[in-house]
Amino acid sequence: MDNKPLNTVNIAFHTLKRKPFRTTGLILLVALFAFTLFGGTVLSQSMENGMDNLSKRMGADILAVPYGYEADIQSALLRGEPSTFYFDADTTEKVESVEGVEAVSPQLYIATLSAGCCSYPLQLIGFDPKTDFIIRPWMSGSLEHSLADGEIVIGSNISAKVGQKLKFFDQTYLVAARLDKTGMGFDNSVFMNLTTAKQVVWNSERIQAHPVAENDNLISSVIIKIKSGYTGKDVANNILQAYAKEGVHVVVAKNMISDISGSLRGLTTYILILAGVLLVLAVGVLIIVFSVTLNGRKREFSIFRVLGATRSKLVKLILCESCLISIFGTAAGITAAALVVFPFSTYISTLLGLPYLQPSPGVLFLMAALSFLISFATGPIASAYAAVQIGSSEIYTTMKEGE
Amino acid sequence: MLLEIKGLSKEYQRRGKAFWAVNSVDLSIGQGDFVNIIGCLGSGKSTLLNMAAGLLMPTSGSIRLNGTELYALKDKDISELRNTRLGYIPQGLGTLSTLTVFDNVRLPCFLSRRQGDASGRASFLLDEVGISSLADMLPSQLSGGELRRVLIARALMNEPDILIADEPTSDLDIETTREIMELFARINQNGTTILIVTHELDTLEFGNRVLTMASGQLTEGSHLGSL
Repeated sequence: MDNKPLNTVNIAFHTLKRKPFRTTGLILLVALFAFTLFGGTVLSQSMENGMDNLSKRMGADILAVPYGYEADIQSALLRGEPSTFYFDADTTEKVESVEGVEAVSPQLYIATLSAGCCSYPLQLIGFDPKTDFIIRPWMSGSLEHSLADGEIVIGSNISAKVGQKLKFFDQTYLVAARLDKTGMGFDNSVFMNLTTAKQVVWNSERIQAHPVAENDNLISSVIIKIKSGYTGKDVANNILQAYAKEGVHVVVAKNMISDISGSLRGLTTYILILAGVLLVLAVGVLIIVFSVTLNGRKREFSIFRVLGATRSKLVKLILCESCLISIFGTAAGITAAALVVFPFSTYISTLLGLPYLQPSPGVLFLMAALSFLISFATGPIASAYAAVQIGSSEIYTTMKEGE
Repeated sequence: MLLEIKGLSKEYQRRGKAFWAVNSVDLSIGQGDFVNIIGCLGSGKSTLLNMAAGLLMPTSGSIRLNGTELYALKDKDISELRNTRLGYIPQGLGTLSTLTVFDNVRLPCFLSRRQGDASGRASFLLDEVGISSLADMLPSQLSGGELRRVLIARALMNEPDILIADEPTSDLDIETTREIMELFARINQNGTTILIVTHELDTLEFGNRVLTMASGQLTEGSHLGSL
């Protein structure tokens, strides 16, 4: 015999435990609501963060690429999708001489099919550490020396530590630094100086032919910073007028960001509308389900009243049950959302094809707490009306209705 | 008088017309009485009983328990009265299916926040009604007669002034009915007043007073012929 004193919580707990099917159904419903709320919020906030970060720290104003490869550079920058396109290295000097250009730096894009660190193809980017102005600002910690031959810098999603060695085409390279989380394709890329990049290309020749191995004088893009007083559009026009005939094309960073921003706005609006509709539906379904479940238990509740439970005591008992359901459901839903959104953030960002940067742990904690509060409140709110209605009905009538 | 009912009526609407389930009933029950109210189905006896138990608001009339006017009380006070001074046994299933027999019996004590040894009293009552070995079982594992004993033990938990039972043997076999009625008789001998409504004539021998309910009206005595 269990001699523990009876109280509201353990009566509610016994009721839930001994009706496992009903309880599990209600918990799953609340869990679905919490999952959508927390998962949706983290997703849309991460996309907004990614966009903010991209526009704040892009670094380059214009990118010069071979004609026809404008979309490829965007894929490489945003998603780290391995891309290969080349033009003559002397494009760097040509572009530097255009009016309105303040600084230029060449980049060489090499795609690997596989690498020891990763289960997916990687983008290797050769850059010139002396003239670079976009890679260095993302480096976490300090790289005391200029990036030496055989050394690499890795994006934040690459699973290796500084000091470790990574192998590409049977050659090992020392990880000298790691980039901060950028929310862009840089997170999945590996950087090295141009000499090392060409070394990688020559090693790859054993497996497949590569244009850079045959022509040492190739690069993939030139990143351009413009002088103050000039607009990106003006300088881009100047470059096109001078070198479009030679197959040089340009991507203006601001235009690219506003294009992404536009599609992101569309996507986040879509997600918000979808989440809003889901939330309204979930609350509606919860109210109906709680109401139907409680109305099916009228006789049980009238017995409490017969035995001397006041209206408020009965409402407390019902709310205590729905609070327990809400707590378990909310905890399960938020945990499930965390297990999907956090470990698979790289996959999600690749899938979305948009800049994706998760908020800081503090912000995530706040979002989880807020989602918990909102989701937790749904159960008691959904059952409050039915509870008050049952509590205020005439006991004998309720008892007969429940038969 | 322990229970005093005067001019008690209950009106329902049926297809827009007034229907008097209980019509100007007077009844006085003294301490230690064992009263049986007999009547056909639909005669109004359960309606009368539930009004007397504080579960159904009358249309008019007065019900006093130990001088307290029941329906003048606020919800908190009438709930307390139901909990401490009235022991009610509902018709049919009246246990909570998710609580064990032991917890079902202890429940009134939790609702009153009464001080004292609730578990000890529940064990004593289960022993008294002969089902102490079933304490840890759930109501779904019990027979009809055993369930009725649980309800009786629960109704006695807070030592009420009066035990009110609505058709307590309606779905039991002859032997179990007799056992339950003997249990009521023993409880009454210990000083608890009992009011039962029934439509079974066999049970009338256990009371010291019989009243007949017909068409919402109550008369003294067992008018077997009219039934």
